[in-house]
Amino acid sequence: MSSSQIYEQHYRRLDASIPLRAQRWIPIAREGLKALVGFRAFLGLIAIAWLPVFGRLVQVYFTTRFPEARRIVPVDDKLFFDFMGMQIPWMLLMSAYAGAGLIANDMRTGGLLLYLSRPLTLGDYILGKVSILFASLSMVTLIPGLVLFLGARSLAPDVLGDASHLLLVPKIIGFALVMMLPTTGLVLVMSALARNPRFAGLGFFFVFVGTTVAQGIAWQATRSPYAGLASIQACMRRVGEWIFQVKPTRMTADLPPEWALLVLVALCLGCLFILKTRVRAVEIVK
Amino acid sequence: MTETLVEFEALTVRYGSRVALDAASGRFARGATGLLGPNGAGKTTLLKALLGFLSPSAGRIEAFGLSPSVSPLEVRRRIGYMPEVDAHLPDLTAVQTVAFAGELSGLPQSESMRRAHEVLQFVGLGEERYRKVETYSTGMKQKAKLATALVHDPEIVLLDEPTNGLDPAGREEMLHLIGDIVTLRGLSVVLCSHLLRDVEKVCESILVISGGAIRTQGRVEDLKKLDRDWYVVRVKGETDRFIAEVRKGGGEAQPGPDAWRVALPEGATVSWIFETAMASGTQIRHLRKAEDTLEDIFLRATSHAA
Repeated sequence: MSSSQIYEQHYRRLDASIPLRAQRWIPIAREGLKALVGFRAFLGLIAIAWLPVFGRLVQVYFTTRFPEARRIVPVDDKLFFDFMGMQIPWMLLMSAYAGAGLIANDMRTGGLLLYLSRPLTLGDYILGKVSILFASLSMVTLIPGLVLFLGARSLAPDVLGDASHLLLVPKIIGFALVMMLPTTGLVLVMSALARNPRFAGLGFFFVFVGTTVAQGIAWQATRSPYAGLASIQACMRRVGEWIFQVKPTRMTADLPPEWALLVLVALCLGCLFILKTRVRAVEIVK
Repeated sequence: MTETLVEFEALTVRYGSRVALDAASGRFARGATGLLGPNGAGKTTLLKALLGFLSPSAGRIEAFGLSPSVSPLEVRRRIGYMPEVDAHLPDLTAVQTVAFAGELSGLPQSESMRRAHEVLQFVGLGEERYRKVETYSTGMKQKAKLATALVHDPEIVLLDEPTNGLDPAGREEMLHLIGDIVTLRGLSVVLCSHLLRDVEKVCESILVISGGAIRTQGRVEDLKKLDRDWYVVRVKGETDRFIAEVRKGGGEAQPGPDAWRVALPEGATVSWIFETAMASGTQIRHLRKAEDTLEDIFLRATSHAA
């Protein structure tokens, strides 16, 4: 009786060479999102984050039935700015849930080697991971914002129906980007610095909330609007106020939005730099 | 001469001020090549340079005629890499992991999944392919890594300590698989290992690296040939008298583990050994041509560095 193993029959050579993919980050993004969608907690978080949309739609509907109520809760740019601003906590939860393990897990299990020993650049890898987080964050910020706009427009065509209100779409997109880009960068950096996703998530919260606490302390001490520059959230809100042209809060009323934007851009660039230096296959191959 | 897949010349790689590869020159030909060297010799640095993770500070390295630091993607597309350390993705089954690796290498999604099933069958994980990789035993993880390295049908597979942590049966199976890849499937393999027996079993060529430099390289068969005619000899009678007679006659003698190694004097033939035995009053009981073992070659090569 032959002792040859049956599995010897199965390996075959490929007839043609494989071309290099143009969009090499797409399989990374797709696989990451597929994995996230498999978790009930992820879907549950999205479902809860959408509840305020329905709340706001009820508010809009209410104002259409009782026009005098518009004096108290007007349907204007501020409604959308407030809604987007109130999505920040959901965005933080989603960032920690979906983003903390994105790089940390790959570093912990050696998965990073699986990526970087393939025909992929570091940029492809990071872009793939950014896409996963970006899509996840969009589900709790950008998409609810746009759905709220469409819903409100159909419920209150007399208020939001004219063409000038279409400008709300780029405003919502702009503010969502201002919220998502630095958050994505920060959570990915935390994920790259800590091998344990829990530590990465905690580190992210610590930095995000810590900068807001730092702003509070600095403002109490100096009463300077520039104290807002110490807080990521304050910078986001200040740029948002400028985008939606709404009245700023007391603590940041005199803070130039350009400065706040500059801080967020610097944060994004810093995150990119850290990711580039931290995520290197050469460090992983021992 | 066998076709060269990878060639490096005067390759120098530094980590800051520390020189990891010092003007190393060598080649990996088609077939199976063993990359041998003590810890810290520069084996992994050479692999890193080959994968394009490190750029040479001097010299050149080329794979398939391409420089990995200039065209890393093109080079990596044609290389399969099985790392020494664990490399899997959390929460993915083996078939998902291997298919994903295929996609990252450029295979279309459906083809990648088909190949994943095939290579997992090939490495003997067919029945276990729907299990998460993190639940695998060490041997199964090694096989899964091999499948991941093979999924895109590379021209050359870099295997970094593939038998690490395996029991004897698992080791035999892994070596059988590697041998099969080379002989039946026509892939080339670079086997990076400190286990000389593994290398000897699979590889026809070796490259010994030590202190960042290539100490010796070539076909194992050629390297085992000695520069002089040496014989392994056992005698009946007074061995000391025989050895003294050998040395008196211009021959050379070295003690071996269970027999003496005797080198003939210049111009002598094997009958000289019988004549010497007769002259010393002893009888030849065992005589065969001596060969270097891979261990001899390795120790000689690495002792140069020391």
